[in-house]
Amino acid sequence: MMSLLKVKNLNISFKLYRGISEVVKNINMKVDVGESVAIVGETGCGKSICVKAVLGILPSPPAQINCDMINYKGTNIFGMDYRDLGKIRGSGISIVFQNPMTALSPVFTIGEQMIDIYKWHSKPTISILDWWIKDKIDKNSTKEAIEKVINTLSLVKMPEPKDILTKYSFQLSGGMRQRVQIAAALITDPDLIIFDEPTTALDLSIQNQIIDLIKEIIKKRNLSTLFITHNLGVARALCRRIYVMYAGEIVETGYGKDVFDNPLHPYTKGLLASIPKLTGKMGDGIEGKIPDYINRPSGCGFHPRCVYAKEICKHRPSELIEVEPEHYISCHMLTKKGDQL
Amino acid sequence: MKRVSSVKAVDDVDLNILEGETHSIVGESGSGKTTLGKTIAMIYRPTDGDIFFNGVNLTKLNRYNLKNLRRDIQVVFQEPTSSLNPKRNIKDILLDPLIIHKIGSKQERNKAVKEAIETVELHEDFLLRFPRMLSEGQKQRLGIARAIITNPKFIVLDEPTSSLDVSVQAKIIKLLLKLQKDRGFTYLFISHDLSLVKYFSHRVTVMYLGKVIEMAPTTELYSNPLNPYTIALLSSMLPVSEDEFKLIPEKIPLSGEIPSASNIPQGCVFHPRCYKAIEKCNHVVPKLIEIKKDHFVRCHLYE
Repeated sequence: MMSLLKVKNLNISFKLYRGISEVVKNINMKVDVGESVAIVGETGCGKSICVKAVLGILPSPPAQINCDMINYKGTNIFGMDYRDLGKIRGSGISIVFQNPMTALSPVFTIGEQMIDIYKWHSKPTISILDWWIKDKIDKNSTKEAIEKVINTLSLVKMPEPKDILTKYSFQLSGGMRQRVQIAAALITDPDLIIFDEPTTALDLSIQNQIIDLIKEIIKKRNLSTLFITHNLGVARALCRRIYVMYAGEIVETGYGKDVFDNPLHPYTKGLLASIPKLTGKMGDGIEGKIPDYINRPSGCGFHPRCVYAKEICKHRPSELIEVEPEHYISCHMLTKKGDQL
Repeated sequence: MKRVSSVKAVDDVDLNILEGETHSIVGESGSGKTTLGKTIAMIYRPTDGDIFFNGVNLTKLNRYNLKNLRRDIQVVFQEPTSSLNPKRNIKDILLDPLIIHKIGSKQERNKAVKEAIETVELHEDFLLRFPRMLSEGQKQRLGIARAIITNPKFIVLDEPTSSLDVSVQAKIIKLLLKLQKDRGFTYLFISHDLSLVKYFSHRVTVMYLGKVIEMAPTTELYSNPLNPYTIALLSSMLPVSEDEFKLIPEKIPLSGEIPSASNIPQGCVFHPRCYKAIEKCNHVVPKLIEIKKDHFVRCHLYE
């Protein structure tokens, strides 16, 4: 299967007064065409910052981003000029942000915002002349845009799309705002949509509506999607493959089914165990807290909190190895065959 | 001044909380669960109705007597960061309740502070630190320490772990369970996390738009939900492990949005979204009835 997006060896650090904070280390990820991939991890693991760096929306400086390659549809977009990158963001990769309450502008109507996105999505910078021509001379462009906006709002099952055009974001409920965001992401006909915590701010009954909607749209348009979430239930429901991140590194990755039903890395095991189960069990959580990114632990990044830690874990950094077909973990405790050492 | 509209946040709620139990209130936005919890803790005054605590009617007490009872009713809030005064150190934050309620001598108070911080598994060194120096989980432990330092009987836990990571949540919940076992606390647990509620509670009350629509012991509610809203809500759970799927009712997608609390539907509050609504539901408010022992439901289908 062809990779739509491939990230090779991504590292992100910040120069602080106290020292250099290495937030993200050695990240390798990919999203194949038509695939749904999840990046899961707890607060501070670096999942959001990774994705922002890939999209080129992480301000750098202060971030220092190093990467071998970010391959999008055969082109290396790492270090690309912001104008070219803007074109890709405009019509290839879209992003739906976490908090629909704040992601939409409160001072423009939904219609104004969406028409703008449609009209200008492939032009990251617009000169006054461009705007004047498109707005004043090419009257059809606005009509065309309005039609497209209404169609896209219907696609996300928005009731009365025509009325929504004149509404402001604060007049809409959380679920409706999220639909608007999804519509805004779809209107540019992207190949890849990135969802950053798509259901966190929503009520349970609305959450399921949005998840079903996303599933339907993915199927209809054969979209590739990347979900960032700390909600493992949502990740399981939506994704085919999953990356588990801890302290800026990928500790486990594989097909969702394999990782959820047979977690191998001690962190993944501890994390999944901590979730209260309807069968009546709940683990004890994971001792300790995330490391100081300026003074990272030697050897394996998880060893200070790991119940299985041995001497070797304190000295040798671990790498991702394939222990089962398409199931990789970064841990010294398992052999290549998946047996416990 | 003209009144434009009023919001009935909590409407006609009858609740019985037994000593030593963990009673959960479950609901979505606008259900009134937080308002109910804060009203029970007498942070808000009820517009109507009575709250009996150990036989004493809290709503009829004067300020002095109510203040004295407040040491028995404590609250742990949802956001650890905003519920702790950033300008005071941990020791002062913990001393405050003791000073306000005039509990103990200076030495006894210092001892109580030390014990409280040990009970929540934080080191004594933390006493001189400020909240900003703590992690989210540590801040919430502090919130719990502050709630238990007056040795209360009843603690309102308002979504105490919603803002915490799952691995931290597990530790906080286990701490709360241990405290209940050791000290016999009664908990009112407000949450929207259905899996956590099942793990943690003895009895569950489900609320929607200010009304109690179902109440039952936990095992009974999860294995035999009656109100269509409860069934739909339970069916919306997203489990992480394979063996949980069979414990969830078949998925019922709920259409529409939750109405605003200032515009509550006539008749049964859930009828516009109910997949089993009958004619009666449009204009008659159903009563909460005990359909079998300890299992109450508010729905015309069961009258």
